[in-house]
Amino acid sequence: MSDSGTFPSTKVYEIMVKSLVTVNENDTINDILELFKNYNFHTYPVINDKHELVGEVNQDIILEILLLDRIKSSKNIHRIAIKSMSENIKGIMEHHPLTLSPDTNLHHAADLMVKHKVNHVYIVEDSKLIGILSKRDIINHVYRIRGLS
Amino acid sequence: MSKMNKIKGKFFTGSNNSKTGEDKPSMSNRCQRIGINDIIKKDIVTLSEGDLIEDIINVFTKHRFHTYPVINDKGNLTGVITQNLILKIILLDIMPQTDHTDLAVKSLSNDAKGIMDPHPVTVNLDSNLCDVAKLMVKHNVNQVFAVDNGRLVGIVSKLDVINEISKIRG
Amino acid sequence: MENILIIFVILILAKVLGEFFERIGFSSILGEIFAGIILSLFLLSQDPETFSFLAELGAIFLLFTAGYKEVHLQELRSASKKAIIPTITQILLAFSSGFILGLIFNFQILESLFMAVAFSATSIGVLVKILIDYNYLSSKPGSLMLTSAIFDDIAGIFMLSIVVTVAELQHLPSFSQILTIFAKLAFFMLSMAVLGLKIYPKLFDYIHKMHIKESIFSFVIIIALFSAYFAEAFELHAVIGAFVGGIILSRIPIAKIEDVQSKVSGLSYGMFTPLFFAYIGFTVDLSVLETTSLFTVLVVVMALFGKLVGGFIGSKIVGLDSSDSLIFGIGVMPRAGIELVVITVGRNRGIIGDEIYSAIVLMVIVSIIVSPMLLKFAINAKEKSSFTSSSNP
Repeated sequence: MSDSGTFPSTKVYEIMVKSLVTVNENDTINDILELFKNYNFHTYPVINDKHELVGEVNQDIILEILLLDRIKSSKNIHRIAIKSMSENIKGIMEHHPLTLSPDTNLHHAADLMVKHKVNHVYIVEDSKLIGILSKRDIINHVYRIRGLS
Repeated sequence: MSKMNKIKGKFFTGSNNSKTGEDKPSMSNRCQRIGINDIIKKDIVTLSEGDLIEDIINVFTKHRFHTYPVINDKGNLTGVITQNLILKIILLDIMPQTDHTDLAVKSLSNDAKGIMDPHPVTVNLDSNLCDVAKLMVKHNVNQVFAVDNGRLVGIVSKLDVINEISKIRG
Repeated sequence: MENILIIFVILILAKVLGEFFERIGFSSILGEIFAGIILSLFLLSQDPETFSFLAELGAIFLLFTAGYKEVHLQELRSASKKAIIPTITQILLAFSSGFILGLIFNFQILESLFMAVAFSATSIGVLVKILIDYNYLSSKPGSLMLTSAIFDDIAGIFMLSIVVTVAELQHLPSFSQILTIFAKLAFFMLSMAVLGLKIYPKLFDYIHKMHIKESIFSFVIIIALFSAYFAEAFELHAVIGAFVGGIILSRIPIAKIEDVQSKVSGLSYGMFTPLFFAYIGFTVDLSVLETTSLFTVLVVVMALFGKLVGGFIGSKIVGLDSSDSLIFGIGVMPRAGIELVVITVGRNRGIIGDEIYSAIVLMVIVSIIVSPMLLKFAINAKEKSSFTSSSNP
């Protein structure tokens, strides 16, 4: 099989997930803890009022903040301490998440995610967040194609 | 400022004007007192060493987990299969040449035993919430497997740890 | 063979001692410095070239990682503006006590300048743990400390760039030389900005598609080293280049994915920066410490007091009470970072002698040991007094 055999020029927007659970940069940490209670996601994209992607919040940073007083040997303790005092998501999120444009070839995205252990990428058009592509979406997609053939 | 206090109250129990030494241990104690037995998920999806790749992919499409434990016929945990690995195998034909050698060998075998990563991160049943949480942060793993004499008992996920800790604090 | 042995011994000593000091509540850097001192006792009077080269890489990686991982201008913006005044006063007082001390002891202006900059840095890592233990993180002096330390970092690197650039000239610059330095600096920053905004993002689009192993990680390291070398080409110091290169890469998402970040931090903290701190210990002239001259004592005392008094005055100005101001003053005392880079550069360029060098290393060690103790003491004292004199928050 060649590239085109697996993904006949599929673009990422065709299989990305469009209905997203996002947080606003002005939401509080308690809001995000609520989300963790109600959903299974590892990561939430952070958007501003213009629906532009400005960062992401993942389980790791939340756990580090929650455990600040338990784990004191972190090299980053200074940063985590500052984050823990932040009033809103803007202060704790990671900046510059990985993004792709919607017309990226799926096999490029898959290649990137496998080689560099990236679990998901955000799909952004005109700096607005329009979708997420995760490894699961690709696995499901391939499974569907194989099932048909 | 009031917002700030709210957050502070949330994450750092106790006020800062007095009795600093008394509130804290209670939080730590509670975190240490919760054994993993209380947060462990025992109803889990496992793979057997003999499962075929097609079956495994099927499992990945049916369930939402990123990683699945592989057990042998005695119920002992022998390895894990991650999303990354499955995707790699699926995409073997579009992967660059360099990664092929070890992957090609893996893809030759068509069962779980042949492709799994051995040596998953495990904890004993007598560890507590704090131990597990620290392990997760320090070694950047999203789940740990609880074993009893090598036998897989359950899984503790990062999400469960977060929810449990925020419950204690809130 | 000997080189492998040296690196092996240093790394194992640094990590084991580092763990020890971390466990008893001090910075692991202390262990790394002591590892170097211990090695120097056995490897008498040698300065193995490999070691100094690896230490240089260590300094480069220390600053590269600082830019790549830790400096976030966004965080700075959200930091309280209140911290600016105490930061300025503590840096100013520490700087002037270093400079004046140098002049009193008849050192040249350039030497005194190096001392002044080495006096000015702050690195509060260990104290954060104490603040957490005592539930003081969100107290007035606590949050002030956290933000002030960030400002201090930036100010420290800024001063480092200037003093290290001057060091390349080996003498105090004339007015026209200052202009040339600024022109070079401006041109360097401009080139780095063009690379960072226009060229690197496109480059990484290709890099992540490359078939070779670890393409992104390798290019992150390549850019770190290139930035360091590029700075040298402009007669700036390599560490400045590494720092700027780090900041630039930190804005490129693909160069910052978790997998790559953890590899960079592994290479840096797991390998090169311990070697740098061990080299500091290795090159300390123990005889200077044994004799404990008046000068050495004054360096230690003045550097600590400069911060203490400066921090105290500054936080008084922004309205903290005396005990809180004292806590803040103690909070900005510890060192363990930029100032060591400053003195290493100064020593390698032959600008500062062993006396200043060793005295400042001693000052750093003392500050790491003393400030956690003082901080605990000050907080306890405050707790007691607030119990007796009605508990007003």
